Amino acid sequence: MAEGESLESWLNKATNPANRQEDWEYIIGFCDQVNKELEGPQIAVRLLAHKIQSPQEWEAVQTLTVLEACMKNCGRRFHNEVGKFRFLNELIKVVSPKYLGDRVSEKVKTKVIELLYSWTVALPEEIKIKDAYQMLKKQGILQHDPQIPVDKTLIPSPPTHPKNAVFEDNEKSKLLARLLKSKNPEDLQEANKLIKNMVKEDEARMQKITKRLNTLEEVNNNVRLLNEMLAHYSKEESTEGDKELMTELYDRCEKMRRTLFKLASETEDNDNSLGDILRASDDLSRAINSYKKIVQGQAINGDLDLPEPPKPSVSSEASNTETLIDLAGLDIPSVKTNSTAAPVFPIIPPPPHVSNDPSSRSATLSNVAKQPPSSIGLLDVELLSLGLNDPPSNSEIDKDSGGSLWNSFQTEPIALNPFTGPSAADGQVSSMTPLLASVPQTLSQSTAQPLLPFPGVSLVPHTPATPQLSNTAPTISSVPQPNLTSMLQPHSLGSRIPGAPLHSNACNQPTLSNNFRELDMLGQKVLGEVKGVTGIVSGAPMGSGYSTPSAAPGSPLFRSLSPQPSSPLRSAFPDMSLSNVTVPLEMIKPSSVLPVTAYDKNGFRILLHFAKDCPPARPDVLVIVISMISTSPLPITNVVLQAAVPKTMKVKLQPPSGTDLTPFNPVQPPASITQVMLLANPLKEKVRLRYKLTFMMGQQSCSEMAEVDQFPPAEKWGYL
Amino acid sequence: MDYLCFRAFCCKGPPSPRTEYDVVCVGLTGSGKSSLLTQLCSESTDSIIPTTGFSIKAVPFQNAILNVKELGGADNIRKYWSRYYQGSQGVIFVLDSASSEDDLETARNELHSALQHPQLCTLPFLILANHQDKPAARSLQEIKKYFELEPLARGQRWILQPCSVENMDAVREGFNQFISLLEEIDQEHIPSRI
Repeated sequence: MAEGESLESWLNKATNPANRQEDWEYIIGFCDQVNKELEGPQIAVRLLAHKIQSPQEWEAVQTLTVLEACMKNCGRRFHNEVGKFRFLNELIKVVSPKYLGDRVSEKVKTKVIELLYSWTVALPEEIKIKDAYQMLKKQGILQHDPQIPVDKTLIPSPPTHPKNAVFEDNEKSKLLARLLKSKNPEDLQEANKLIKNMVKEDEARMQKITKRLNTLEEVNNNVRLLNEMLAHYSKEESTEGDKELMTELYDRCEKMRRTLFKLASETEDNDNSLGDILRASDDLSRAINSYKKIVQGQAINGDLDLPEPPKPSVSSEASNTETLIDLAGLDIPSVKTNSTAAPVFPIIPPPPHVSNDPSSRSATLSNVAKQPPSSIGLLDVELLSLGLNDPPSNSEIDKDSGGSLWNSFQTEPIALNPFTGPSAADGQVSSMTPLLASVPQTLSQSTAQPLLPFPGVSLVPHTPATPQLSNTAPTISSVPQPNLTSMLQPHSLGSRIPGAPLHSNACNQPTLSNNFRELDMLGQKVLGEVKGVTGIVSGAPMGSGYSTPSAAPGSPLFRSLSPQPSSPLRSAFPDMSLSNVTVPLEMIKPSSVLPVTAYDKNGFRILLHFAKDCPPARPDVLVIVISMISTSPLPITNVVLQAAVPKTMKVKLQPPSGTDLTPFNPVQPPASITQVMLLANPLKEKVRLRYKLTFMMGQQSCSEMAEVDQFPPAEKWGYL
Repeated sequence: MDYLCFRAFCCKGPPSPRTEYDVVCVGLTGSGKSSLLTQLCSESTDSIIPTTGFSIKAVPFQNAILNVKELGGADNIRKYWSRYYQGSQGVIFVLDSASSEDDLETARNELHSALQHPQLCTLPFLILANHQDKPAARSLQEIKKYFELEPLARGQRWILQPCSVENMDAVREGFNQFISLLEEIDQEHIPSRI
């Protein structure tokens, strides 16, 4: 089989009316070429659509066979192209009497309908195919679903089903057995054909495997060579020849990365091969990045000349997926992605949601990163479609990346303090409070999220984003909260921020504020995305990043944000919005109402204290101070509280004072976390609050869900 | 009734319909399966190419017709052999007596798996040591020894017949023996046969 032939030539050979019988060499060759080319599927469907409409019946029939083979062999990329109306319309034209239906032979029409039907069965996610089929049915062009023999429905589903080959095999063998048993000569012919097809498919599969092995080996060699050269590289000393070689290697690496992605999407094997491919692509990306960094002297991720953090832990986590490389580069001053800092995010983000993140995240990053966003996004999409990453691991990645971003914000208040002092910061912050409250909304990227099973989850208002952050897909956003309380409780800050050296580091870099601002934006975006559990408002401890913009009121970011009105709101209850309401802790006066225990297990207690007054101008809002205490001998970390209320109310959680509780020491006062919760209940209904609590006790992660309904009656709010 | 009278009086009635037996024919590629069968059917062997897939031939003999399912022997098809075993009453194994050591070893392995295959182990085997006309052909004794037929196929019915396409008589001889084996088994299964 000659390599490098065009798609058209393959297809012509495969569908040549002069063929005596179907020529599988060419058919498989065509499929391979489709997989090889970047635009393969797009071009292929155009060519196929044209040929299917050929007046020569044998040509059209062969084309349909090629189409079928491509559906089986060319993976999701091809399915997507077929599932577009551009192609489906061509198929419809073939069967519809309004267009070509009358001139086309019955055989072709039947086959087309069979194919369409089999795709509606095998590819339920391609809704357009279903639509097209339903339309044909409705118009009476076809009466009932065709009876398709078992093997026709065996379009291998996209590579999420590694067992597919086995399943297919069983079906085929049953069919074969049946055919062979019968005495009917036609059946035997059919069996013969089936066997031949199976053999051909086997061969194709073997070829794919060898190709993959070869590609992987090539990748490894190239990566190794490039890394070696980079190690010995120095601007002055390296020879011209070396530099040229490195450039060539770099180009080849880029090309191979694309090939690897294609391979990854095609592979329907077990996880081993996929793991190899991914590892190889990781290596490639790393090599490419090092090349860029060293040779081209560019900082990765947008000219942020950030000191590389000396932490092996993050880099090892970064090797989870390549997406982390970009974010890890932003990960400057965070030395420890210790568990205290990182995981603020619910462990729940469902996979389809997360799949949005990398692409949107990478879209953002593309502004700052030199890497093509598509490559990162593609890999993640592929990863997710391959079901390799379970939600926890993915969320972990997000946690890490988000966490790393948060860590960088963490240092900002430290930088702040020496400059402005805590009191000044306080003063600034409190005046900025309402403005800051609107910051997260504007920054948060919203994506459509499936709801957690909380009854009557209240909607959180969504404000449109600033032009700086292209806010696409606005549906419902979650509201990450600024860590105002952290500002207001400088003591707790001290306990949380790890490592004095960070302070000096941060302080000594005056350019950081600028950089932090960008990080800010990115962080907000990421935070917003990953948070995206609709309607569940959770507190975020690390909002301290905002304090930097607040400290620099002249910063353009802030100015553009401040005049932002907090509307149009998406919620159905606009007067309930808590987006502009924030109550700092020291303004809260305790009421005479006894606190309510919301949770008490294993020494971990959560109490709800009700404040005496309502927030100014909001008599419908109840202020609750949540205090979490631990008398447990195990350290409690990564505490995340999420709350939900019925639709007629609204709840807002301000950032907690922290997320960790040190183990109980009888000599010292017990560790505690304080969090302010605002509850808006304009309709004065009975309050039912559902909360979800996640935390790590020692090494074990725990998750609790419960409801609290012992709230003071709504009439009394403000006079408690 | 008429028929019986006819027989009683004439001692030779219309020839009873020849029994048909389904057999499967396997062997490495190039061992000569297609050629032999084609010749047995008195067809020309000029246009024979390696079988991809399988072919079915009804080979007539004097007192039986063998429906032979002949499977391709190439590497990529060999793994599908087992799918054809269902419903067979006998096995014909063709090997090239003059092939290389490696090939002979492969053939031996295949024969052994066939002999031990659950669907075939109770069936009679006709082993044709083909290509006897070539100088490098191993003799009957050598084949028997090399393929360990005696120890391995003990308890099974098998016939080892050296032959070549040049000498169809030997082939027919082998087949006739084979058919008698098949008939024996048939009669065992139907004890009270009139």
